[in-house]
Amino acid sequence: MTSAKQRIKAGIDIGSVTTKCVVVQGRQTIASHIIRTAINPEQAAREVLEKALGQGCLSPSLVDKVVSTGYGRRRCLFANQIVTEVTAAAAGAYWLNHLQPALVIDVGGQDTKVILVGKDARVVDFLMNDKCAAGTGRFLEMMAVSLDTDIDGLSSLAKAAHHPASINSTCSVFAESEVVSLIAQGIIREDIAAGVFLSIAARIASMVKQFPESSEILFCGGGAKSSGLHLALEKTLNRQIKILPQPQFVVALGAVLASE
Amino acid sequence: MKRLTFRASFRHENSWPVQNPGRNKKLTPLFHKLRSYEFTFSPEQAAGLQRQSPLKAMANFYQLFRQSRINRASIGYFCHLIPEEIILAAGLQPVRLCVTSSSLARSGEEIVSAECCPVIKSILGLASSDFLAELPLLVIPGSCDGKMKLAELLSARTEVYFLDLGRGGEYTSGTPQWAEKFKQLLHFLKKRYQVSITRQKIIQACSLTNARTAAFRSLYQFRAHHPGVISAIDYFVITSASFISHPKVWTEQTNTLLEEAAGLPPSHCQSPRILLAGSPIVFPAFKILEVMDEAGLEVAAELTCSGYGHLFDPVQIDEETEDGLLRALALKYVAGSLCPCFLNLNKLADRMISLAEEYKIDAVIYYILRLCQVYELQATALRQILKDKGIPFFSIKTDLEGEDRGQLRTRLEAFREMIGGRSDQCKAKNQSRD
Repeated sequence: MTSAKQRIKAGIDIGSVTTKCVVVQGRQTIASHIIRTAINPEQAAREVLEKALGQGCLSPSLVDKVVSTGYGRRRCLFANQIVTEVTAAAAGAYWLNHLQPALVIDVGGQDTKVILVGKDARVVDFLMNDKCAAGTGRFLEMMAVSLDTDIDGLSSLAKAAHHPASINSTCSVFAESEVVSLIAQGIIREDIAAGVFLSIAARIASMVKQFPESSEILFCGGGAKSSGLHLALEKTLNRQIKILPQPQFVVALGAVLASE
Repeated sequence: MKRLTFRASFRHENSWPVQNPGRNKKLTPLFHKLRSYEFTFSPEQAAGLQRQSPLKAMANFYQLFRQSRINRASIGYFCHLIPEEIILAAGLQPVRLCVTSSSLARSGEEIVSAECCPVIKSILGLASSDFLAELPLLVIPGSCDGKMKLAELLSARTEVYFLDLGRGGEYTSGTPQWAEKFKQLLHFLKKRYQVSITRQKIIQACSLTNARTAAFRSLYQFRAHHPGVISAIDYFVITSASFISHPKVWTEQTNTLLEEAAGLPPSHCQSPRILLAGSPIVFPAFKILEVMDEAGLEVAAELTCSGYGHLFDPVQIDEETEDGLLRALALKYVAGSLCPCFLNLNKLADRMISLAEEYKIDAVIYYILRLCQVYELQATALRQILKDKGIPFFSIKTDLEGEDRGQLRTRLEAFREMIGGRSDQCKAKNQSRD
């Protein structure tokens, strides 16, 4: 048991936009790092592991096991084990929620998942958004660009809104042109930004509402870093939503935990 | 007060061409750009699929898809609602033209918008090629809305007989009506082709299709009990071949294949056993099967209109009169249909549950072709019923294009992890066998 606790394992989550690595000893995160995935998932996985280890002043030879997850999981050829991001998100969220079952919303770059996590981090059921990008991190990024800001700037703008605009397009490409036409109509950026968050929140909420209401709602993935999206979700669902610590690393951590 | 009247010309227009089948020359320009029919996927791909199969007898089935034209002695039809036995008894070959292919669907988008059912688009794509150039007649049932309009659109290409079966009918009152519709078809064929369709010929045709059903059941059972020997792709190639193959030929080829398969070593496949149900799965659009295989899920049984629905039910003749035969056909084709337009979703759920019990199924995957609405509309309800029975149910919505393969695989792998299946064991075994 003691020796098992000393073991160092790495979880690498190769997402569509960013690649995350968490180095874990026992169950404690001892180092983590995040980089853009760019075009080569395998390269990104190597680089992020190297950097995470460098940050923790650890030698690669100490790493006992590497678990990969995320859309590029099978491209990480040096991984000892592969798990899907759904199972990993469930395991990470369950651990960070003090081993309590919950409903997990994971907003990533190209996927949004809603996962019902039961006892022992078991995935009871899950839903993923359709193949298009509406309701994902990518959508937020595109909308931020249309409004000449970044994702954090989008949240600040939304906070100052008085009359959120309504954005109806469910397709991110059309939503962009909708935003452009709202700007042309003279609607202020603040109201458009708030409208963007509400439109994503509505899409995520329709997924959440397909699950039983009793469970606590947790929020992770890159999307959870956006305070604007968090507020819009709480408003739309009329529920409290807990953001997990270091939300972008939940899946990478969960990959390690799920592999045990 | 002035009496309101029909517009004279309008009054009798609102009727389907049931009694008056034929061609609609006005619509001919719809298909003005006929292109030569090329095999809907590259020969390399076909060879690749064939190479993956350890069964030599599969070559017979692949061979069928290389024909480039339908011959004059055939009658084309759609759905598993058309009594093939009547067509066979007329001395003609029934050819089911339900196709799914991304390249055909793209060519069909020149006639209908991209936001239409991929099966309808694929069929229109096929109709825009010279594949149907010599086809004299199409029999099209009024199953879904798509098929109804297809009957009108395709009358631009060839003569169409629209078989209106009346949706949602129930078994006791429906059977005599359906038998009557089949009788009309029989008399139409007699007149159209100047042939006699005797009881004896129908009975002979029934014994052909019943032999086919027996072969199919052996295939179905074999796959369920010997997972990993005949792959899901091989299986759906075989069922798709039954659409265009003569029942006698198909039966012989399938029995040959089963003999060969029985001689292969068992695969000890440990993958979760899946009942695959939903929209039709027809050669060559096998994305769902390929991704399920990659995700380590074994299709142990299926319940689609392209396989089970097309081949599982026999003709049970109680009475050898013409009416008795037609009733038996109505029972097989319409009362026994799996089409959501005819089958109540509770009964479909019952069939799923009984197959799940019989074949020790771990989960049901319900395949929805995007915009194939009748299947999509019942998905949530089916999920609810099966969940209450403790059977995991997972619906997958996709189309014929390949851009969502990555997401599909993630979903299916996550689903496998959710139902507690271990990874890639079946695949590893297959690879070591190669």
